Amino acid sequence: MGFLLSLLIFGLFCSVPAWAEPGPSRADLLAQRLEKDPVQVTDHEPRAIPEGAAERIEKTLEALGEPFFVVVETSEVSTRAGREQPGELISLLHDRMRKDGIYLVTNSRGNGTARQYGGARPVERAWSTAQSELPYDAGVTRHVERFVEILRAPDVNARIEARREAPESEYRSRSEERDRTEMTALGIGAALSGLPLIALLVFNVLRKGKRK
Amino acid sequence: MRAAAFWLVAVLALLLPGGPASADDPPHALARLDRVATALEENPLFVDEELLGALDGEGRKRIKTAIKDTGKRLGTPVFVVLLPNTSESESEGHNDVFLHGLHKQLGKDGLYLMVDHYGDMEVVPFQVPRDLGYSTIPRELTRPADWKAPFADLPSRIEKTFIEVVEAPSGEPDTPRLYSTADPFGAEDEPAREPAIWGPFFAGLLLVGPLAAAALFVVLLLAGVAYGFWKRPPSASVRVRTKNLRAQADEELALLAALLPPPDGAPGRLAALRSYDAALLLSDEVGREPGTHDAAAAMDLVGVIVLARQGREVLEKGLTRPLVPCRVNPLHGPGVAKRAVSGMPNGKVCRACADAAPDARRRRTLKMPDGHPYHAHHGTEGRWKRGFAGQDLAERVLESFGVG
Repeated sequence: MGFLLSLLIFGLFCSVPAWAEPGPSRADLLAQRLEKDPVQVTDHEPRAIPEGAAERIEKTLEALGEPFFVVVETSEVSTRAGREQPGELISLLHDRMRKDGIYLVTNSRGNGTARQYGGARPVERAWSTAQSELPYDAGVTRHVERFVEILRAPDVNARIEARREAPESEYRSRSEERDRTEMTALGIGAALSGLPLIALLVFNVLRKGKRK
Repeated sequence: MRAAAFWLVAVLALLLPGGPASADDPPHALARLDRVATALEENPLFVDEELLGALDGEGRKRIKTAIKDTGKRLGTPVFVVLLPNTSESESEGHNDVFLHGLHKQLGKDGLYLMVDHYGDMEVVPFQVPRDLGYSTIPRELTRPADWKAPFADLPSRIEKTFIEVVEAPSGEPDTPRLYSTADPFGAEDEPAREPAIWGPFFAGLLLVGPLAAAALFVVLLLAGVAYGFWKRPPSASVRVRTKNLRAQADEELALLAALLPPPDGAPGRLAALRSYDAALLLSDEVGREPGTHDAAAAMDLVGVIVLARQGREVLEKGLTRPLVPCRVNPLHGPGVAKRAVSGMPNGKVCRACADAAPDARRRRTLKMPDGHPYHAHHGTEGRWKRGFAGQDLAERVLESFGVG
């Protein structure tokens, strides 16, 4: 029921007449909604963002103990379609809200940026580190989880530097793993028949040689 | 009340065939369809929040006017929707799928026009009294002219599209078929193939293993053969020892001496005597105790044996002239066939050497105690320069002693 209610509230906000002159900008609308709910998730990508992602992101970020404002926007939409860059949007949102805290604007694939007002946590580097550590299809909630994990590390800078020194993504190719498994099976099979056979042949030849 | 209406619409949408969502899709799949439909109830132009920057006030006004005019001329509602439609949407990025879903959600017939985040346009006429074929709207209207500014010409593209529709020939109101489909949620990608275990295992067990073992065995066998060839000790029979030669020479001399003096009528009488003389001279020169490594003495002893045998053969077989010994190894006996012999001119060789392969024949060459082949030695005063060949061997030996 809570989900339906939030859906309807979301719908009401989005049905603001788009051509009203001068209409509210995207930042205005987002700032209004962020005041009530600090995590705003696009509904354009239900296949990439699972249900309840907003709640999970909110719960994860609460561990930082600071105010936060999160916008998860639609991927693929470029500035050519008139949309702001994540960094620009953060500035616009802060202009309107005038609130300290961690601002995070990202898309469903984790492409985005973070900034903190009224604090000096390395949130921007933490976000890019999370992004480089995770596979491209990890999803936005896992990105937020990794982001919080990095920021809560005993030594944040060391945690980020460690990543820089060993730049290896967690991405694993399923087909490569499958190939490895199948080659192992083949190898075990070949060894099971090939080794006894070669032992038998060599033994035979040696015995014959001795008899001679 | 609103929630109930939503559920009613949602259930109806699920029951009707087609559209973006199937019965297995999660409820949040329909969220934005509901949102856009709700907004369209109020206004026929919907511009999504994320595309607000794509249109200015002027453009919006033009589109609004075009919607009104077109609606009047067609006699049906007209809806224009601007919103992102990525491959992660409930329609999987298919704009026509979205419009069919929206039509179902809104429950109103009319002309539906949609523009996605790339500026691509889709028009679907639901029960519009115009005969619109499959490709009535020209491609230059449905695609932006400049992909770097996909929304720059949008108002005029929409206006021109509406004119195309309005001016199309009249026809029966109809709903176009939807040819695209969106995959069910969670089934977007081809299901990944699970690793096969038993196939590769048995392929290895029955095919690769035995084949690899056979190949390895052949390699080992060849290596063993090559190793054996490399390590084969020089045949004891071809390398002579002076001590053995001395004994053999005495034996041969004794055998010949037993036949002497030859009967007066024997045809090879002179030849046999000459051979005996030459052999005796050589034998005396070598002495009773030749040095173990004395190659010259060994050559002389071979000469003794060859000469003694020649003398015996002449008498026993009633020949006039002696037989030429095997060129490969003079101790083999008389040569019977002409063959190539390495290191020497071609010459007659014994039957066994004639039958041997060329390199086997080379290995059969008589070797002196120092390991060198016999033809590398010329002996005392160059006595054996021509080896043991020729029927005049005895004469050559006697000449080398100044006897003649």
